Amino acid sequence: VIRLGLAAVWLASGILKALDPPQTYLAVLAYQVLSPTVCSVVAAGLPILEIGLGVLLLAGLATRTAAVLSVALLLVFLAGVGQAWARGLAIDCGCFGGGGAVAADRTRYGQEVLRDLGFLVLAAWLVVRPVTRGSLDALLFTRTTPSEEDRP
Amino acid sequence: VTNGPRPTPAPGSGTGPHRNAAPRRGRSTRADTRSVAAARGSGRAHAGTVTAIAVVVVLAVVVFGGILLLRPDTSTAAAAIPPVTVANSAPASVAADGTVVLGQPRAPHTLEVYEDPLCPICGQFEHANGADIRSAVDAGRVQVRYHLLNLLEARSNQPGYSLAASNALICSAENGAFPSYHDSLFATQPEEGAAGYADDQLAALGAAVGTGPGFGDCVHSARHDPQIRAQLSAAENDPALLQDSGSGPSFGTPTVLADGRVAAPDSPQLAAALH
Repeated sequence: VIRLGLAAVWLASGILKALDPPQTYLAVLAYQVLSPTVCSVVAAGLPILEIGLGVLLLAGLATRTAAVLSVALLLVFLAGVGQAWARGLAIDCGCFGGGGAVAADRTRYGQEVLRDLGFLVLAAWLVVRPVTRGSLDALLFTRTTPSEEDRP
Repeated sequence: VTNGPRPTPAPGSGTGPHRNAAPRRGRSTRADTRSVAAARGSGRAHAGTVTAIAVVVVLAVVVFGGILLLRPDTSTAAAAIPPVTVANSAPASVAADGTVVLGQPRAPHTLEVYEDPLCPICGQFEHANGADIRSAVDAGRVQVRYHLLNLLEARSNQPGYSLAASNALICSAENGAFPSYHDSLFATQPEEGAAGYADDQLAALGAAVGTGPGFGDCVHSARHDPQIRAQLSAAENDPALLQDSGSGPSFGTPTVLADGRVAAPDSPQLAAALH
């Protein structure tokens, strides 16, 4: 369930970003960390990376690897939002599409950080317990792993 | 642990000789468990290999998709910019600082227009007031001074459309086609954050609206870039041009001065100068 939840998060955010490349580019630009050229690359690659992680988690393939990458990506997001907050930039995180500059009184840094921390907990849980029911990992490899989990 | 080998029904199964299949199956299942347990180490190695393959596949998808998305935006690439032809007989010239001056020098009203070719609100301003400005200029009521700026230079993907298009606009004024060229660019303005028009497209539009043979060179040489940059920094440091956009006074585009004073796009002041 945790795996499917995190998969849904990645798929939703990745697809929303992929549907509006100009907005995604402006959202990356708004963090004011990367040069415009690097932003261009990140804006192109990020949606694909997110969708890729979502698909892996949904299928339950290489769950631990996908979970580790999820943790890493979420840490990057947290750092991005955190630095924007600390520097007093007024931006929307653009986490699920949207993004860019907003009025100073309409920032949502607290909620964005808490939400990312929540996702981080989910991802970390999957790093520790990657193999779950209905996953390709469980189907493909070691029939012993489920029985390990079944043990008290 | 239920995936032991199923007893294969032999031809004519279900009759006497095969009844003792069940106990045999039980034994073989226990044996399977032991052998799988013994092979657990190799199972892990197998899992590692497949994980590595999965990671490689994901990386391949990421790289492939990245290349796909990084290709120039097909909505603006390759296609010709639709030309808009404006019948305009008013004199046009380019000042030493790159300002494009359009209209009779002795017109009773002046407009200073600070705009960026990528800026969406500038597009709205042109959509709302462009035709009125053209007719007021033609009638000799208004002289317009266009300050073309690269304020949003970073906000096209790839960066730089604001600057390239501003340069092309000044080139078009030197080549006698500014009104048509200007209105064409704003009529089908690239979306902010998207790919802008490439230099080749900017050059081709010039040919379509009747610029001379030197226009393409002017576009590709980016020869007005220093003037455009200087105009932007002058505008940003001119207290008379700053407006409060919610977080203190700042310069933005479009900024329009009607007879020397900042005028909102829908203000009576602007209407008075135009009509």
